[in-house]
Amino acid sequence: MGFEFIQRAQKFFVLALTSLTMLVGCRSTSPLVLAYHPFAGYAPAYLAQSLELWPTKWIESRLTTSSSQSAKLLRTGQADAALLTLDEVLRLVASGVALRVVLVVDQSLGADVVLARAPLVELAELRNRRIGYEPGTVSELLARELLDAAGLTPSDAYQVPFRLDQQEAAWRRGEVDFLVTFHPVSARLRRQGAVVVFDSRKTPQLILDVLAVREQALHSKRAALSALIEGWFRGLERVQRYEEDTRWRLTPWLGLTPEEVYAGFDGLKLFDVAENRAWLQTEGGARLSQRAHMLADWMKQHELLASPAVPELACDDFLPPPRLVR
Amino acid sequence: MGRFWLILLLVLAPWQGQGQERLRLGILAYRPLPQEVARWAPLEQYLEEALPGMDVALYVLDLPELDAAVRQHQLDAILTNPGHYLLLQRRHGLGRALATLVRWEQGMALREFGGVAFARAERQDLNSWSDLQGKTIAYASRESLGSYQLQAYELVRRGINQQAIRGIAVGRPYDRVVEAVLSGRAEVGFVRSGVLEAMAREGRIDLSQVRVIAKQNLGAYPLAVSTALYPEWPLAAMAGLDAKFALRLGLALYAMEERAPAVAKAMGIAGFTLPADYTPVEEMLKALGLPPFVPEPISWEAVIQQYRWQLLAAGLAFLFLAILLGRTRWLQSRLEKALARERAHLREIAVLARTFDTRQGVIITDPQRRIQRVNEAFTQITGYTEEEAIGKKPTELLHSGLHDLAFYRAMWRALKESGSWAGEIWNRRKDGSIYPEYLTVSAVRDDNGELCHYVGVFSDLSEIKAAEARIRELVFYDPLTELANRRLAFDHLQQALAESARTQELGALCFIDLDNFKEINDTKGHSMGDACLKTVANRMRSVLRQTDTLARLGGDEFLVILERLGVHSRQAARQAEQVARKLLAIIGAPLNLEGETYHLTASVGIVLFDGRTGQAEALLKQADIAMYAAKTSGRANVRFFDAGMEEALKERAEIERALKQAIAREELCLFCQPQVNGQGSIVGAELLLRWQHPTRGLLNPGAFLPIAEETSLILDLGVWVSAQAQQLLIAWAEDERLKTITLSFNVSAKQLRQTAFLETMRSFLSQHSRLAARLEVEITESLVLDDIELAETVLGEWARLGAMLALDDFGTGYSSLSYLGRLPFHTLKIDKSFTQRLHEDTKIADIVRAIVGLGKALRLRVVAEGVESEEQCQALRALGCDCFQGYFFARPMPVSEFVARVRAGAWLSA
Repeated sequence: MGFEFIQRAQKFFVLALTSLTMLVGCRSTSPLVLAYHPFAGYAPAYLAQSLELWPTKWIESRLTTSSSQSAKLLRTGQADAALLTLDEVLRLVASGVALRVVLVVDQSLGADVVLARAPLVELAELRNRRIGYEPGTVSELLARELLDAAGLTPSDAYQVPFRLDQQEAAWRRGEVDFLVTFHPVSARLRRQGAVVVFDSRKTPQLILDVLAVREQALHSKRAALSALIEGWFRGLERVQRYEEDTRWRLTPWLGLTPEEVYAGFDGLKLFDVAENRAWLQTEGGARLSQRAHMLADWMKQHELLASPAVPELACDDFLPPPRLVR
Repeated sequence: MGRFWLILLLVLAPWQGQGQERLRLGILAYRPLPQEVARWAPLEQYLEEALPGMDVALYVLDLPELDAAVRQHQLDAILTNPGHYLLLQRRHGLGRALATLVRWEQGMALREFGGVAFARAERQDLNSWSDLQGKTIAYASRESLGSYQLQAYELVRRGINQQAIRGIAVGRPYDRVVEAVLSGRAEVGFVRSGVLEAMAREGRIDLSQVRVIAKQNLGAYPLAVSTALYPEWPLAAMAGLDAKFALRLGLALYAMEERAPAVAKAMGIAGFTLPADYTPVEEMLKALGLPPFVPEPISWEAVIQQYRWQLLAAGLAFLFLAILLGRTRWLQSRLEKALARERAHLREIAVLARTFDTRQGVIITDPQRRIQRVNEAFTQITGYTEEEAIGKKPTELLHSGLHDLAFYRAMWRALKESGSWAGEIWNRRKDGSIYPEYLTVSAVRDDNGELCHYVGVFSDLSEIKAAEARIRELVFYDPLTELANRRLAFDHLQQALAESARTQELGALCFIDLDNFKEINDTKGHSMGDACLKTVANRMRSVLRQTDTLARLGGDEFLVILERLGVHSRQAARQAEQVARKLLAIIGAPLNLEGETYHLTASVGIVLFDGRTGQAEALLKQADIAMYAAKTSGRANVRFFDAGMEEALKERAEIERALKQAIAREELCLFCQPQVNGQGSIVGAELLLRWQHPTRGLLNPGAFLPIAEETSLILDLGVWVSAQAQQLLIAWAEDERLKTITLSFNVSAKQLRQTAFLETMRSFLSQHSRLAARLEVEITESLVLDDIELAETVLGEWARLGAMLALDDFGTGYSSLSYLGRLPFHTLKIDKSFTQRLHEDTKIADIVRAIVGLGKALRLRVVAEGVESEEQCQALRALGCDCFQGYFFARPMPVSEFVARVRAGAWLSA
């Protein structure tokens, strides 16, 4: 009798395993949703999507209009991953969203700018003027830095919140005197005469773009994540070496002319695989973590974050193995 | 044909003019040749103007022609597609690109182009690259960048093999591809970007007729494109071209957009710009393995040489895996076999499990005899549950204590030697009851011959034993009365005979027959008869000793075997008769059956037996005869088979009866026999009892004393005798002649236990202490030996009170001398047998001398009895005897006569 039981148990086990496999299979067929808004730094993702550099049935690009929209999708779980700035990631983590950074995309070295209608003689002219920016984003950081640099406090200027997609219209209507924004909006507004009075080159430690992934997806969509990152670096290669295609391909997404597209990369330092490894390798404390702690402290100081405590964010599990790097 | 034209052109052209610098520019044609020639004609003119003193010749050629011209170094610069450019650069010494063409399309300057995949508009099913799998596709040729390679790369990139499509190479110009698709020869066509739009412009097709597959979203890019964009055609100089000249050419080209925009636009271009990076094209060609990036054929030798260690490692790994696989398969087959065996075992075990579940108790122990398993029957038989039993040793639970150590040793020895033991064994249940079981123990050994278990299988024999007992009962017992049946009775009789022969003791066989049973049986029915028999049986059983056998022979016949009735036949007969009388009495007691009272009677026939009597069968017959005699003598009677025996019994009974009355009737009387000393003077007298029987005359004690001894009459007699003796002593004390005579009388053993007698003796002795010394009590050796303690107590008291003690008949019994020291005897009487045989045997004299010597040593008076002659008297005197008694001196005489004779001076001392 005991023996029959074992046979039956085996059958059951096989059946259970099959069901489990099917279940896992079903889960893996729901694609990994990646949210990102138009920004030159995020171009590799757009290119990978457009050129099918990654398996599009595994990865779905959710093109948003602003980083706050991406953050929202990530927070609500509508997106598994999003391209955001580190400060946005910190805010999300502080609000209880379990996130890991699997990719450090770029560092802003001038891509984020403060635009004015005319050149300033000194930054103190900001006093009692209207500064527009998208709250909760990196622009807020830059705005604070700007005020810091001007020796002003937030109450010394009018801060007007605008989402990224509202900014150009607001500018045209003259609703703000200063606008904290970045490429490609900055490029388009500069076409209309805006001048840069302050940019992220002055705050090299502050602005880092990263790919943040929900902790759950980290486990349930490993294959898709690996494919995403592999595709990302192919996209990055396209940016760097396939200018003819790239400059045309990005135009509809960035809203620029082919000639303007590459200007957007000027203020950015895009990181390759090796540099990512340096950022994310957790052995002996990831460089990213140091940066995150530093940023958290800064944000706490500026009352943009309640607590400077930051969990471990870095995760280098999905970077391509070194031998595959050409 | 084209080749012919070219060669002709090259030969005839006046380019080798003196001092005149020449520029031979080859241009690839991808549209119909005349159209292309016409299109590029302004370029020749522009360059001649832009490069003064330069003889510019423009050759618009298709791909093979252009190839050939380059190989033969008949051109100085070439404008061709990037793929072709890369090929020529690698293979035929084409130099670096000087400029990249910028086309003018729909009002835009384009320095990049792509490939187009298209189908007829109605093919709604063709939307993406993956939809092209297995489709018929028209293209110019596989060497064509814009009309095959760009598209093939997209397919390959998506995992669609070049062999997965059905290709139709339709040749140049590209218009043929469009025609092939529109005509339906092919489902899909590959052309470079701009072709469809140009043909539409030329009115040769309607764009609504076609559908661009996988159309890329490139914003403001004016042309439909299905692939990525690549840099436009390069204009490259041959490697040998003078650098200065190349620079001039380049500058001229760059300046075109500024200086001659109209000329440029007429050619459908915006002009030329700085040379692009053609890496993307290179990558694409590499990915497709196309010239000039065709992978070199790899020789096996080279591969082996290069990867020998890896190959060796792989080979070893493969070998290892093969061995592993082989071993796995081998193990698998072994496992399967083992599994099959296991299944067979399991089936066997299932069968065994059934066997295990039997009514027989099963115990399985480990080699240390600790119980590992028991079955349900074990619990039922022993009362111990499995939980209680496991871990214990069987002996701990079941040891009955009925078998000694040797039994168990023998069991384990048998197990050790032969591997099994079987036999009956008594064990103890949990409730303490002992039961028999038939146990088979086997030692079980494993494959290695190591002892692994003992298996004990046992069955409870209690029921079997009970059944056996029942059978025995049926065989040996009468089921109605539960008495032994004829068979068992016969068996017992034989045993009794054997026992009798051994002990010399007699036994009796009593045959009992109910006199009036038949009446009851006939009138009241058999069940009443049965009840009657049962009652009778129970009654008889109640009066018999445990050792007696009571049996029912059948019908109303019973048998009683009485054993150990003593060595004397008379005594035995008497006892047997007594038992028979008791049986008759108990049978005769009123019997109440269903309200009616019956009086049963029975007849008993008795035969005595001893070891010599003979066969049981004969005895039974004799008893039956005796019974019959009893029955004929008037029922309710007892008869002996031996008539003499019966007579003797009768006489005895008569004597007994008469003796009872003798005292009252004063039939008893006392005689005296004098005892004289060596000088013939009287010193004492022995009182002797006589019975004056009314019919038989004067009887000596031998005729009635044994009977009196057997009954309590002896006590009455004793009391009477002692009372007479006391009276005589009191009377004699007044007489001078008589007062010195010691009067002795005999006391029996029974009297010593008679309180009344002891009391009279005590009172007499204490009241007449004067007379005590004249009173002598004669006792026999056997009396003393019967109960030495009692004798000591009583006789000691008497002696203290002054009485004399004499030991009678010395020398006839055991003559144990030890008591002589313990009891205060005064007199030792030598038995008359010694006296009478004194002259027959000299040894007797020695014995007598010894007795006398003993008496003297103990300071006892020694009296010789039975002296009948002078010789005897002389001899005894010579042997040292003091006193004498016997006929020689006087016969026993009535007391009155004795007194008279003493008074008359008889036996006076000399």
